[in-house]
Amino acid sequence: MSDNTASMADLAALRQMSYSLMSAVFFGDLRETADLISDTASEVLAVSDWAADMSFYPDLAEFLRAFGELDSESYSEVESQYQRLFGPTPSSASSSVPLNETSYLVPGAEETGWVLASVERHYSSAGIESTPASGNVPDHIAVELEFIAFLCGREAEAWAGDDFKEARRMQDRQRRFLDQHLSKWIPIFVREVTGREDTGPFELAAKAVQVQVIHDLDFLRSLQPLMRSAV
Amino acid sequence: MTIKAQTNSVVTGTGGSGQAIDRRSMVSGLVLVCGDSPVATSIAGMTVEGTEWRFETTDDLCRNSDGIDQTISMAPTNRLIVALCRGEHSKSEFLSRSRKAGIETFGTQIVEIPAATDSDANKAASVTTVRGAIARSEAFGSADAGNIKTAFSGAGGKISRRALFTIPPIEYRSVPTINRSACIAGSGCTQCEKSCPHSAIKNVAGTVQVDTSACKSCGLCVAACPQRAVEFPSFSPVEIESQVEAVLSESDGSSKNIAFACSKSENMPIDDWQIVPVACAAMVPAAALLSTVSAGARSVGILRCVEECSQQSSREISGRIDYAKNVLERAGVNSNRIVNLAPSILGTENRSPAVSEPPGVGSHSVEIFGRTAASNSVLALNEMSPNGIEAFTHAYSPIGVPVVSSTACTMCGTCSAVCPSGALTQTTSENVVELTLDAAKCIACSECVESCPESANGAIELDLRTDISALTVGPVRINSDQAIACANCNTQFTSQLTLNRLEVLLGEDYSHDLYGTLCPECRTLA
Ligand code: SF4
Ligand code: SF4
Ligand SMILES: [Zn+2]
Ligand SMILES: [Zn+2]
Ligand SMILES: [Zn+2]
Repeated sequence: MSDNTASMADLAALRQMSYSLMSAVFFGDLRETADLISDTASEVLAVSDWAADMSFYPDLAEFLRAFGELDSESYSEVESQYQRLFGPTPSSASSSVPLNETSYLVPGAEETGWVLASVERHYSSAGIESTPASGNVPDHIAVELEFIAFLCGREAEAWAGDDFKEARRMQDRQRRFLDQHLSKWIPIFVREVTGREDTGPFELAAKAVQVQVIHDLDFLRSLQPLMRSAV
Repeated sequence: MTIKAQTNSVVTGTGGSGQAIDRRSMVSGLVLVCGDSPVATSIAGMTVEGTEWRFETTDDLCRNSDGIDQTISMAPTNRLIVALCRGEHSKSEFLSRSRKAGIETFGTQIVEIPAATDSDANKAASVTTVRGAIARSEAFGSADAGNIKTAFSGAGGKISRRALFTIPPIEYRSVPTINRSACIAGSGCTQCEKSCPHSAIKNVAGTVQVDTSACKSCGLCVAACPQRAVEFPSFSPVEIESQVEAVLSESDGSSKNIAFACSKSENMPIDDWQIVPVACAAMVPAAALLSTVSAGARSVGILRCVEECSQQSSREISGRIDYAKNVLERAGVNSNRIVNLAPSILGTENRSPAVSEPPGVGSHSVEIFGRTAASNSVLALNEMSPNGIEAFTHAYSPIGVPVVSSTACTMCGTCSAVCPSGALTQTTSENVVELTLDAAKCIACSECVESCPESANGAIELDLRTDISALTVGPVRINSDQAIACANCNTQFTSQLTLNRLEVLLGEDYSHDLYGTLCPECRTLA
């Protein structure tokens, strides 16, 4: 039996940080998140003793290292990579990889409006108000990831505050959102990114998102019966 | 919409020794050996050709997994083999430790070596064991996130809320994903779906979907797939085959006894067995037994665990063993070479059978999974036998011969369309429709019989026959008929026999102008 001394609070906090950083990267404001990433990267890598027992850890660490290593010079290169991959493209260039869920809907299977409404429902029922002014669409990868980060943060607080029920509620919210949204389109998004040339560190970032999302959905599903029947 | 980025961390480090592995500068793999075993120096002295494997011996390794991070950090890798004294270690502790040290999930194998006796034969056999593990490790590709399922050990009983503030001990299990470029679900194959005892894998409108929460990681779907399209890292066809081949190829002066053992078994067979771990004993097809014998093993065994290899699968396993023994007997090979090992219970001895040395063989290559594995292994044994294998039928035969009645069959083409192995094909040329059978490809799945609209009339039956002449004759025409071409677009769209049958079925309602002149497409346009 593995000697796993980490608390649920630590794990939730680690996942919160992971999602926040991935979100920051896909917001595209790389220079501003630069310090944040390199600071936090070392912090995450420092907890590796228990965290490395989790199957998502190697990909997370690799993603963090790739961004943590960037200096002010390489940032401009990465920024232009971001633009080439995800930015608006001149009509002559090949189209960019969309960053929002509704671009990946199976034609005819689901309605764009329905998906957006569902995403918004998840946000509002968790007590988050939409502020469309920021210019980010609700189904943007960065917003969806930040939403999970937010739920992870609340879960971590609940554990820290000895509030088992609240922690379980936050896990349930994460599981449902991962199940209904992120896990449905992230794999297709990642395939798109990997299919491109010159993806720089974004391929590692995309891969890390996929691994984290799939791991967490599976982890929360496996944990659910234990959480439900705990006495 | 904005959600405030929360990066104020509450993560506290445990001052861990965990290493972040830089995947860019790695050796192929690392073998850690417990120095307390009398065979340790023999293993540490091994050489591996072609790839860069490092060997490290640590005293008291079995009781002390702490140091392994350190050793791994000196030679970063994501493939690890830990050779530990039999019965003196905790497997899950080493797996967890190795993950913490940066070895990828499923990248670690634990092999058991003798704790006490020190004979030369033991030393040589242990080197062979490690050689097999290295081959298996090199055949292991990598696990996708979708192949990894979290299980909590001790999840059976009730657990207290207090206890759940700490992460319960984690165990990772392999779950299948599908290699879409090899999968032929689009043409109706449902072999994986039919094989799954937990309804976890389904062909949904031509695409196979795996419900990982229902999957119990038994690997039965892997064994059922004629296309080797089910990916199941850590127990994949190529990993298992590579290990068996490597063990059989090693000339260590002794003959080899191979035991396919459920990885959940508490107690591995001792003595002179080389262990090949499988996800469940029921994922071992008859071809595994036959192919391993024909590739030079002295004996082959299957070991079930007590808890999970269920009653149903134990009947299935006995059936396959009985079939394989029948083949051996007919080939003039002592059928005692195949053993149904007693389910692993502590203290069961499971000695290898008292049979003579196997004859020398030319090739040690084995084919265990996929549509041609069974027929090829039967053919290989046939080559080795003095008089050839006489045809016989058996309820658990993995190969068969579809028999078509030329009077009842209407040449409608349904059977060939559903046949997942390509044994039945129907072609149309020069106004003739032909149904062809290549029995060497038949996997005895009976999809053809189940789908045939005329099966009640005996149009097609599956003879569960192992028949060398059918396996070697090549494609044979088993029925033919005149093809009917569309009067409008000239596509040959049906056969005369189908029209005759339609006329019988519809009686007075049959109209040749309607059914016999235009293809369905032109009919709707008309
Ligand atoms: S591994 Fe077993 S339980 Fe899982 S899908 Fe395959 S047959 Fe079903
Ligand atoms: S058995 Fe193999 S080829 Fe057939 S549907 Fe399943 S995965 Fe595809
Ligand atoms: Zn030891
Ligand atoms: Zn078992
Ligand atoms: Zn036509």
